[in-house]
Amino acid sequence: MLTPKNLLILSAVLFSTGTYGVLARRNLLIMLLSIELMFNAVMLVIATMARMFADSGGHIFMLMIIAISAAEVAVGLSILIALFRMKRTTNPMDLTALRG
Amino acid sequence: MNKNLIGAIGAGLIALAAVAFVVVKALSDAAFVDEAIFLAASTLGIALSVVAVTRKNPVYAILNLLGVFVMMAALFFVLAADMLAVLQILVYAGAILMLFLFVIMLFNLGGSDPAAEASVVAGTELGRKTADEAEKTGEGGFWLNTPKLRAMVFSMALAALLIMPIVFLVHGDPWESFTPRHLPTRPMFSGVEDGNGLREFRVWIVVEDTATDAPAPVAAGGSTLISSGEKDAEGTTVGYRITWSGPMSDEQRDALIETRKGDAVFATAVKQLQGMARWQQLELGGMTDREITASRDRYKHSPMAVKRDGFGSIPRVGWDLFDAYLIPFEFVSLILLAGMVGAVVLALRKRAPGEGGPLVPTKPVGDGDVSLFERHLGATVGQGLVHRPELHDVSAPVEHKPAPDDDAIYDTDGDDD
Repeated sequence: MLTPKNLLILSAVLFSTGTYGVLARRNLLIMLLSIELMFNAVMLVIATMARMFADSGGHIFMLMIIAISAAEVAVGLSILIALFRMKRTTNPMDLTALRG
Repeated sequence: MNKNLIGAIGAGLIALAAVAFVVVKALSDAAFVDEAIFLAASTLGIALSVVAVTRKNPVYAILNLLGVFVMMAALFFVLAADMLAVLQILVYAGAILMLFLFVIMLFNLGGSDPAAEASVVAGTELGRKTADEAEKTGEGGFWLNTPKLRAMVFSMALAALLIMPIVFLVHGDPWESFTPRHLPTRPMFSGVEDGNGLREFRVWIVVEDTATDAPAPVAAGGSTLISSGEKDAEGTTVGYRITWSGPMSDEQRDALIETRKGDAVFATAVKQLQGMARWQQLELGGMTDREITASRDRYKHSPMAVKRDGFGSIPRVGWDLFDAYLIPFEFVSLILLAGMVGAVVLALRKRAPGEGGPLVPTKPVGDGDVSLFERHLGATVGQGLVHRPELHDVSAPVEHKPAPDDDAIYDTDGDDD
């Protein structure tokens, strides 16, 4: 049961769930959360591969992903706060400033 | 007795039976623990993630995602990534999700916009017509015309696209089991302290003959430095115990390999030992032979077997991080710095010109103090806090209003009684 194959399938399911959250929701906070879920699915793939090939270099990449997603969340939430101040909304459909 | 209570007791009994089953099974089969953790964590992880992305209230979404991250940490632990499992809890659950909660609660970003979420279901956002409307006007409804439906179909297609190659194209052993045969050829090693620093390295090499899939036989014999090959219960040589002190030069390495010419396993062990000699300043846990054998037997058929190589431990991750991956590590620190500056710049509130003095309360809580307070500050009655830049300006003359008589001070309702 605990095989690399099953773990990869699990992370594919989690990644798709995160994709659904990004596409179907109209709340920027939940879209950001869904991106975190996708990050985690990728981390699971890397952990599986690191274990499979017994190469602990994969753990370094997981560390990098954690650090980068922390930076991404900090910047993303700041953008969200700035947008909320300007527009009083968290609905991405109301944000049309860059639409040509 | 109501139905909820019966249901709760039933669920509790089932959970208790499951736990008891796992415990009893685990006592006889170490690998079963990993299987049980995997099953529980993957099932709960998928369920919680689906719940998380469908909640209207972001707070519930975050709490469900917290559960997903804890399940992920359990899976990392099963995959022998201990350090990352702990970091997952510390950084993801402890820092990132709390950041989300702070933003929600400080900025009152409450729930989703109901109209916006409804428009996703109905497909009316951006002025598109719903299926019903399109049908009425005779334009013909496209069955994928609501964004929610499209997102669902897209994500399911993505899942199928990702899963199908794994299921149908990938076969064979490395993909279908974590067995000790796929352990690294890196050795497990431990050191012995004798007062003059770390003296002895014990190096274990997993022996694997790729041609026959059988552990390769190793000739017996040895010198004062090298054991005759450690054997497991089946009599297979699984490693050497090599005593070495200090750094090993390339010449010394070659000379040592020369003592067992043609023994590829031994040559690998010595090469690993040369790499490990750099570790002598580090404190390595000294395990007795008995402990090593016990842990090896216990986790023989378990993913945890890889533990004996120090895989996923803090020393191993730290060594990799500051040795082979030092430059990526430095770049990540730059990214974090840029992220920090970006967050500060983006979230900074734009102040109006002249704004920026200290915040001064204009309406104290105690009702008797209102006049005194206002007289002292020369402020007008208002709600909350106002910015008073002039209070920063020490050169500006302070305006003192004449004090009203005591009756006026304490007569706050203004009816002169």
